[in-house]
Amino acid sequence: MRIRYNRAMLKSPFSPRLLAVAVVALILGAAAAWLTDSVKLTRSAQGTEGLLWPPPKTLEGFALLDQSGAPFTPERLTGKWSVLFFGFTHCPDICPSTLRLLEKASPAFPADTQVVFVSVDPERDTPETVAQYVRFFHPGFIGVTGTPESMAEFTRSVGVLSMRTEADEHGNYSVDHSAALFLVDPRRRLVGIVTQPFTEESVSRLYRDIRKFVERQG
Amino acid sequence: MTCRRMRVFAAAALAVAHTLAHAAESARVAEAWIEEGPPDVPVLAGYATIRNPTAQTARLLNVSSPRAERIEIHRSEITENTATMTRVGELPIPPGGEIRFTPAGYHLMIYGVAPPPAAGEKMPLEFEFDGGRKLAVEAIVRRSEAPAGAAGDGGRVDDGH
Repeated sequence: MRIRYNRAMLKSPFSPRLLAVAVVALILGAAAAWLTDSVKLTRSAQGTEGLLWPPPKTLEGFALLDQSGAPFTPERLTGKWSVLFFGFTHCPDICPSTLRLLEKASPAFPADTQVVFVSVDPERDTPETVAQYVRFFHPGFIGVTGTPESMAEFTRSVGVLSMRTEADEHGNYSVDHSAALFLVDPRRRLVGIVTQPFTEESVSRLYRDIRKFVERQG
Repeated sequence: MTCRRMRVFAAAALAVAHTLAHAAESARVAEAWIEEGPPDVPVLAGYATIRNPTAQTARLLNVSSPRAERIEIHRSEITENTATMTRVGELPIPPGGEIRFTPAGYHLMIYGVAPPPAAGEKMPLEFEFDGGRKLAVEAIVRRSEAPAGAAGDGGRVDDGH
């Protein structure tokens, strides 16, 4: 297994990095009390549904490509809300079902929301490949890829873990990757994540609640 | 007939019936379907439920299709927010149990179907079990309704108890 990034921020919700940015785990009663006035993020039957992290990190300095081959730079995340999902087109199982879920959830998103599929397999995923892939699920979804180096930098800055498995005798490999959704506000700040397992309902609700909370903070 | 003899007879009859029932039964494949994929994507995912009504473990050794270059058995998992996918060799199905392939669980990794099948089409699949037994099924191509993580049971193995 080739480890591309070892900042397994999402491996454990209690990694030092996450603690360092003062994560508020929504399951905590203390957090609930703290949030009473602002936002109600409740505990689900399964446990943590999402995380909110103040102070949020600003995403900057990246130079990727969208599905038409046009630059995907920080301006593209500015002025609107973004829901980022990381995956790859050779993933026939979890990636399609997550994109289907987003396709169903997205009509309930506010109009200034963009859904962005980011490839963790830039070696195989060209802008054309990504274009066909995202268009199949929703004509409005954005697909992003780039050079392996620029993508490595971007995923690292978001805190996404991605590991390529060893290639089999046919040259096929898989990419283990974070399957959470990342919420970016109009100031390009990474304000929260929606953790697995999520549903159409929990994605919409957490996005709405986190957004409301962030907007109240100003 | 004495009571003892009757008991012996009943036990023998039961044993024969049991053997006959199991001889007639063997692993079965049901509800086979293939997720309709985006155009030009070289892999598709297929799903099915495999039931093993026999008293012995059945082993799924291989799956093939005249329309696919090759098919492998894979298992996806989402553990602590990280999605992984691993190839599974032969797949044992416990006696009296079933294995249900689901999104974010066991699936067939179907390589090289050209042109890709559209929703509503059927694709022939052949499941090969140990003992040389082969089962031909038709898988329907459709779009999944199941959400990713919430599909939830992760390729459940039900041991029938």
